[in-house]
Order: sequence, then structure tokens, then C-alpha cells
Amino acid sequence: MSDSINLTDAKGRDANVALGGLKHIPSAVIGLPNERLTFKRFVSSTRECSHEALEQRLGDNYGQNLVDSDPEIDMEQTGFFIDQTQMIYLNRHGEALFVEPEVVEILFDPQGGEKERRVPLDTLSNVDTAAPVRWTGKKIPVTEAVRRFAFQRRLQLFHVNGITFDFLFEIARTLHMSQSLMLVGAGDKGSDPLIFRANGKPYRGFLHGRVDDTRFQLFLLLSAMELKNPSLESSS
Amino acid sequence: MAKPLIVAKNGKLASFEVSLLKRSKLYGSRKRVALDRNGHVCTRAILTEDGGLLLGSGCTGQGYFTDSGAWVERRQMVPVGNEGQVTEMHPSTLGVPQKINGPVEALEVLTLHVQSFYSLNILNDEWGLKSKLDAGQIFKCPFNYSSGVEVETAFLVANTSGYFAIVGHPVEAEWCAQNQALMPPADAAFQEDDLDFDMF
Repeated sequence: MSDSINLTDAKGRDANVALGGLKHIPSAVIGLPNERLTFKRFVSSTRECSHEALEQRLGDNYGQNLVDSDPEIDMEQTGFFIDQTQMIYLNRHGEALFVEPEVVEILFDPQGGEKERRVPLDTLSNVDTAAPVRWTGKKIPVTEAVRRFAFQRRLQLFHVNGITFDFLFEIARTLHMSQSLMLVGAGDKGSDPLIFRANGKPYRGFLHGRVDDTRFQLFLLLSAMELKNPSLESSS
Repeated sequence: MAKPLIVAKNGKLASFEVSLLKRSKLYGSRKRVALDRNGHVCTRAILTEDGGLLLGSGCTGQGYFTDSGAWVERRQMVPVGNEGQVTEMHPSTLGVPQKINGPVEALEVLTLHVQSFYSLNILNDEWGLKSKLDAGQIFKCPFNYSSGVEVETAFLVANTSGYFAIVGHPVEAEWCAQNQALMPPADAAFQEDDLDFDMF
């Protein structure tokens, strides 16, 4: 994820500032007292021991073999910890592909039905580029925004020097005074969603600011959906 | 069906049916799939580092292990606090009346580190909560869909489309002062995600 953002203010001036995540640190974790636990992956079976392989290999004697000789367990491999791996593709016969597969993007409607297939488009991050993330001028009162948008992420903006302190303080003060959020967007017109990494999830961005005397907090709230009732959406 | 969310104030109850709200339920979703040269969908498998094992779907397991290599089952594990002490496991709040607070300021909702959103369907409203939510008021209550090491907070809101619970943990942020150099914390949630192809 980008750790900086190029942003404009109400006057159209742009500055590059730091971006950080806000994360809840849990007061407890699931574990054992006085014991360090490590999460690991391991081999639980092999392809030769799969139901399909055994069915094909043992035929009518499959059931009796399960009782007599435990063919479903590979005593040599089962239980080995797996560390570094490489992902590969298999064709429908279970054979490894030695040529690059064709990748298609399938779009599904809200009911899960296939809507369209197309060649996937790669998207680039657009929050820290020469074209700044734009202040759109579209203010949304906080009381309306929290009931309308699902804010899934909250990032905090930090100054990197004295000039950017003034820049961010002024944005935070403006939003604090108006008790509203400011829609920001990427692209020339500021109408594009924000993308924080190549092929990452696009979000609508909203600035939220607070000031306390000479200090400020400025947040970038990210939303990829509205608060809507799915049953009403599907019926309409 | 999950148990209802029940909230109580002054001895009067209101209850809601809860269902997880996902982007895919509203707008659909997209998925990238790999096709072989005959146009058939490929499946993914993993190759171990030494190239010795090709493992398909269902060939791997995962779990917690002690330093000595012993497997610890999930049912043996307990909540452990930051000091190493055993703490309480909080059960699901669903089906059990929860004290509701509010109305609260809309700004309070913005302090949440959001975990999930739920669509609410009103089942019973002795207290008159519906009219308060319809009027734009926001209420909060403890919420755990399933048992967990902590209890989350749910903010109950309404709009013209329906009633919703915004669930997460409140997180206080640092104030920025001119003479204060702050190191922004990395957003672990973003770092953990690998390339995400579920785009608009």
C-alpha cells in the first residue's frame, strides 16, 4: 500500500503527505498461557491418496483396502510442515500447465449469476502520482455520511514538514468547522475511485478533520459500498 | 438463522434479525480465472519449495503448534491477555438483551475500526426505537456475532433503504502538532492483503 498521498486542498494547491493506518490492537489473543504458538501449514494428504485417485487405482476393492491397509494416508509425506511454496495451475485432468494460462475476468450479478466475461484490465495505484487526489468540493454532512456510506477503512494523514503541517491543519479546520466530510477522487476531474496498490480494490475517499487548538487530526475514510438493503436493491 | 439482536432500555426491548452486508450482495462481484489452451478453467495447486510435492485442493491442513512441534487444537486454546494472563471469553451477544446507549454523536461512528456491517430487519419494537432511528438518531450497544476475546461495539443507524449495524472497535488516533514528528503506523490490513482483484 502507498504510504503517502498527493492531495489538493480547497484552493487547488497540492502537497505530498504521509499516510498511515489505524488499527485496533486486541487486548487478548487466542492461545495457551506461557506457551508460544506458531501457525503452520502442513501436508494432510497427497494427490495420490485422494478419493478420486484411490477410486481409480483400487476399483471394487476400494472399501476393503481402506480397512486393511490405510491407502488414504501417505506415511512418508503426511504431517510435513510446508513453508515456501509456489502456486501453479492444473488443467482439468490435474496436470500441471507449462504454458501461461489465459486469464479472464468474470463479472457476477448480486444473485451470483454470471453477467459478463472480459479480458482483465490491470489498474495502477493512483494516490501518489503526479496527478493529485482532488478536493471535489462536494461536502457531505457527517450526520448524513455515517448513515449513507459503509466506511471500511480509516487512514490518517500526517504532515512531513512545517509547510505540510499548515496545509493539513487548514483542511482539518475547514472540515471541523463545517462538520462535514469532503469527497476526494483521483484523475483529472477527481471522479475516479482511489486505488492504493496495483490491481487493488478501488474506494471512494472522504476527508474527515478535527482540530484541537493548535493540533489536528485528518483522516481519509474509504468506502466501497453504500448502506443499502440488499433485498430492496434486488427487487428494484 | 442467527439469533436476533436484542436491545433493551428502561426494561423495554427491541429486536432485529441480522444479516451480514457484503458488497457482492449489492453490486455483484468479479473474479479472475485462468483458462488452459482449450478454454477450460484451471485449478490452483502448490508446489513445495524443493519441487518434490504437488499439492492440490484439500491436500494441506493448518493449525497452531508449540515450539516442540505439538499440535494444539482450537478447543484447548483460551484467551490470553497482553501480560500472558488467561482472560475471559465473551460469548455471542445475539439472543441476549444488550443495554443500548444513545442517541450518540455521528462523529463517534467515525472512530470505529470497522469489522463488519449488518443489515437489520425489525422483529419487535416495544421501546419505539424505529421512530428514533428513522429520525436520524444513532444508538450503540455491545455486539458479538460469535464468541470472541473482546466485545465489539455496534452503532445502529437508519436511512431510507433500511436499518443497519456498523460493528467494530473504537480506535483513538494521535493528534498532530507542528513540533511533533509522527511516524505513521503501517496499515497491517492492507499489508496482509495480497493482490486483490475484486474491483469495481
